[in-house]
Amino acid sequence: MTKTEFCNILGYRLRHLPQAEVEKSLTFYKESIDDRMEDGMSEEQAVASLGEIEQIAQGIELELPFATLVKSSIQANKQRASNKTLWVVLAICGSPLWLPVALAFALVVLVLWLTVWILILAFYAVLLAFAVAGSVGLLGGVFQCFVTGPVAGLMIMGMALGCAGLAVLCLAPVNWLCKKLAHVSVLLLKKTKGLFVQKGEAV
Amino acid sequence: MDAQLKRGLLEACVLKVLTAGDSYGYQIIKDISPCIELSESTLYPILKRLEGDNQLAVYTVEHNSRLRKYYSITDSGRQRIQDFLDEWQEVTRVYEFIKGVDSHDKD
Repeated sequence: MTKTEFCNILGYRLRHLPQAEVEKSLTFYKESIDDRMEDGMSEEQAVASLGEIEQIAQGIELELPFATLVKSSIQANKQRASNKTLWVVLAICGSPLWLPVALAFALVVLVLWLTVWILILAFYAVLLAFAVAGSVGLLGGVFQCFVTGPVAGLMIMGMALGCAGLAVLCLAPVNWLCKKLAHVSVLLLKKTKGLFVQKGEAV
Repeated sequence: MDAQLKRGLLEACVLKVLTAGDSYGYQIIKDISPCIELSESTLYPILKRLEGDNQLAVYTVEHNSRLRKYYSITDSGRQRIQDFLDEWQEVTRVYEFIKGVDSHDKD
């Protein structure tokens, strides 16, 4: 296969991606072929040593942000649909079937993602509550010393210090846990994305 | 080798190669190849990701009347190598542990 043939095939395989992205990838591979030829390989050898085009294309797709992939897939679908009215008819007739499924899937992913972030929010809310209880309670305790006497005041101050202590103690574990949770949410989106990329063009 | 593990190793390898000086795609592959197998289809996403994470910078140079992209490591890239080495000490400990249990079984 020549360099031009390689670029044509790869370009066609990536046709549903943004033009700039395709250009960037092609430039990289063209450059590599040129460098290999400069190193003494023939054009055929240089192209062959790059590996399978399908594998190359999948590598490029997997690295693109999810939003870009969906957008370009939708655009590609739109183009196809405008070419074939049959597509539109099929999509409309089939909508009672695929719309609920797609909606349910999107909702499940959304709910899972939200759950993770709500958990993170809850953890920090508890932490904040302890911190606020600690600092306000301490002030309240001092105030109480003068109003009802040292016994009640000191008791409140003691409890406030306990709360503040808990807040400080839990900060590091909560941070650690939330980092892991945030990672889970990213992983979730990546896995979902992987699902679409493996299927190729259809979204 | 596990894909995730290999990706992490390769990212560190690419950064390490760049500590010796700026380099371009094919040269990076040649430099890493004696250590671990690497192809363009693997390197391209890695370079893109490292660039996105600001761990390397890209510039273009004219070479033999064509353009060639060069990659140079940033401070955050150097830090990444250090982080990798620090983390790896932990992995080595686990490795020794696993290896130890295994040889005990044979005895």
